[in-house]
Amino acid sequence: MKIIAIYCSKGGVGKTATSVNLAYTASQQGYATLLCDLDPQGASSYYFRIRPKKKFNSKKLLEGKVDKYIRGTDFDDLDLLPAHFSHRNMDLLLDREQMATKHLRDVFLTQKQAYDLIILDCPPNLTLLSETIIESSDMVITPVIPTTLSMLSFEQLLKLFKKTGANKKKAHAFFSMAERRKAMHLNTINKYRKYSIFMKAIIPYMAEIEKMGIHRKPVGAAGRKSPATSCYDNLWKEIQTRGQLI
Amino acid sequence: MSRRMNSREFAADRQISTDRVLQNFAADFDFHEKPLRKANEYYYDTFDWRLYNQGYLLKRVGKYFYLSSTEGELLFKEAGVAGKHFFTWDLNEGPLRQKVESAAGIRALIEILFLKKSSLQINFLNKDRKTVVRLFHEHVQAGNGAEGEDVSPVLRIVRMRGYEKDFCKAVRIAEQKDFQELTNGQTFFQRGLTAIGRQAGDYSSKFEIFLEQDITIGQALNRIGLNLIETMDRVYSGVLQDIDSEFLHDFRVASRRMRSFLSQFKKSFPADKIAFFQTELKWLGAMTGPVRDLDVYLLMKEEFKVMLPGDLHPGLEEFFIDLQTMRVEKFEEMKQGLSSQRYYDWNAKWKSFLQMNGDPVPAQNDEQLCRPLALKKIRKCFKKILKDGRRINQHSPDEELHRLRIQGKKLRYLIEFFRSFFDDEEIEYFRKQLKKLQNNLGDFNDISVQLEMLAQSRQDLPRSKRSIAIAAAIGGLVTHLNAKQEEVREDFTDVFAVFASDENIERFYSVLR
Repeated sequence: MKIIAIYCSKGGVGKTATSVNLAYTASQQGYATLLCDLDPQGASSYYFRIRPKKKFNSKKLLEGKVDKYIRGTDFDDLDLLPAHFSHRNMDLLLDREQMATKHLRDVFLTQKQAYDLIILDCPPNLTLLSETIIESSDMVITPVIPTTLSMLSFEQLLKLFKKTGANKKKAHAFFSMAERRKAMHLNTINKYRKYSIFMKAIIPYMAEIEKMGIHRKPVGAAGRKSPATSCYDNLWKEIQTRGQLI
Repeated sequence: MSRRMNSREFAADRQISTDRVLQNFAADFDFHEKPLRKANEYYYDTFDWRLYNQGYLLKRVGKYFYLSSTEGELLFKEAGVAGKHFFTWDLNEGPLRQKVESAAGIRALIEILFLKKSSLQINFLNKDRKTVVRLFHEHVQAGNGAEGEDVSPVLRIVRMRGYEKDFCKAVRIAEQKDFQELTNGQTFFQRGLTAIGRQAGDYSSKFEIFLEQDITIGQALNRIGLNLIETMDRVYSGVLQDIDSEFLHDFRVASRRMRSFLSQFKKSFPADKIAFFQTELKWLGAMTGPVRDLDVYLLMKEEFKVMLPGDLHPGLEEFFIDLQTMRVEKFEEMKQGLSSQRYYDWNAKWKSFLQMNGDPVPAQNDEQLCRPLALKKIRKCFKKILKDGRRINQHSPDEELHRLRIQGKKLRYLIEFFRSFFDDEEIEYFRKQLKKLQNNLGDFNDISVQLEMLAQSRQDLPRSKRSIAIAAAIGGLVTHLNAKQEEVREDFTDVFAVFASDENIERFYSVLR
């Protein structure tokens, strides 16, 4: 079982869209997949029309009692551990209980019989939870919008890796919400794409991805092969190779 | 997630439409109907269920083969195409083929069941329009090449993880609306087989019959005869279609068993009644023998190859081409015989003689019990084997060993017919001892037959360059086989000594008491 975190300290870079669509693509290829919505805003859960059970909260999650709170999505081989509003205080809990930075890994390893893949949709912050997520994952995928601010967040991530002594090989990035017509986007992509940390696949800005909020399902679930679906397929292929998932 | 979903199944009336079914759930759920899915599933196994017996099911849907456990867990999926029957080497290389090969060996995989499935999936939705329960309305037709038989439609309610309450609610509604729950856990594969009048594992090459201690000889012939003719009828089409050489083998073994029974107990039945069947069974043996012999030789190709140096292999290849050609001719002759009026007449008369309604076959003495008679025959046969076997030494002619083999076979058949009369463990011990002796004698006989065949083939060779290469290969085989036969003969003394040890003799007689 592999744990893949979709993480960026900046909000609005396409983390949830990436998590939802990658989880869907992997499950369609037969990977038993669990998507964990760690973001208290619960956008992944919203996309799959799943509400958490009443008794679920971040304490239960950190205690490893996740089994009965996982819910099936409408798609085969894809389950979801929904977000909960209490996740906003997960940092405090981690700190108060003096939990090890690998604690989340132990929680998810309880699911290794049931799943081939766990994808973490992470909240946008740079806190103790971020450290725990990095330490607990096999791969950390960060979407980067080709803009100055987003590059700044990317550099912060690398700094965090350095500070925590995490294995840099786990970090992977790709350009997200890229727009051809914007010179800054093109220049940024051209400047940074040569670094091996950046994957070749690029997810452009697309209305189709934005409309996931209306349709409330992954782009691939619309029943036809759309340009957005192909983009996520390519991204998934590269992740499979880099993460030795094939 | 599909692999951990569980479900409950209910019988659905053929006349009830899906809309009518859904009306029952409409007060509690919204629905989303998915497009109707149709799939043709073809199930394959060897004629004697080798895959099923080892816990596997091999299915093809479209261009894919699926190997799963009999409990339904998918093990391997592999692309491939197939007709009504094929061999493991026709499958694409990979783990699926390896598994199938390990279970089926060289036996043909035959289409045993065809399921024409249509399935309508209806998602039950909550207020967020999230699927919380799935309902499948499934219709299936089952067949095995002939026209399809309807299998009762099924309503399958499938649990979604995390939505147990909704699942329970849907099940409760189904129960309240008087849908009959299917609790035997039968899959469509099993239901399909039942619909075409079969069941998994319903054929085995192993002869098994239970005779009560007080059965009369007439009843015994009725039971044994019907069992054997059923075997012959079952493999008959496989023999004619020439799917797998094992069909003919089983066909011949069954007819030989019948012949052996009649010859052993001929005095118990009116001579004028059974003479006809004895003649006809002899005719069947002679008619089917050449093809079986050729099958055995053809299967020995690799073994023969190992016996010869590489420079004689081309000659051997040519020799096998000739054998193959000969088999085609002999098979046609056999096919004519088996499709003839004579065969049909024999088959019909034998069945009518056997009393299909289960009544005992009229005997010389209808009261005569089978058990004492069987005991007498077995004792006599055993004694003869001991006497003849002890006489054999290094200088005895081959014929004496052949005669002993035939005696051994008679005894084996007698033990198999009547094993239910004895202590199962003890008779099995003895059967195994006999088998060891039979293996030695069988090897000796096989080599003799092969040498005879090789000598005849060499004699029949026309004068040509090709014949020289073939003759050289035959010469090489003869040398090798002669040496091997000597070894087998040398082994005989030891093998027989074990079989006829005082301990074995005493043990056997105590079984027969």
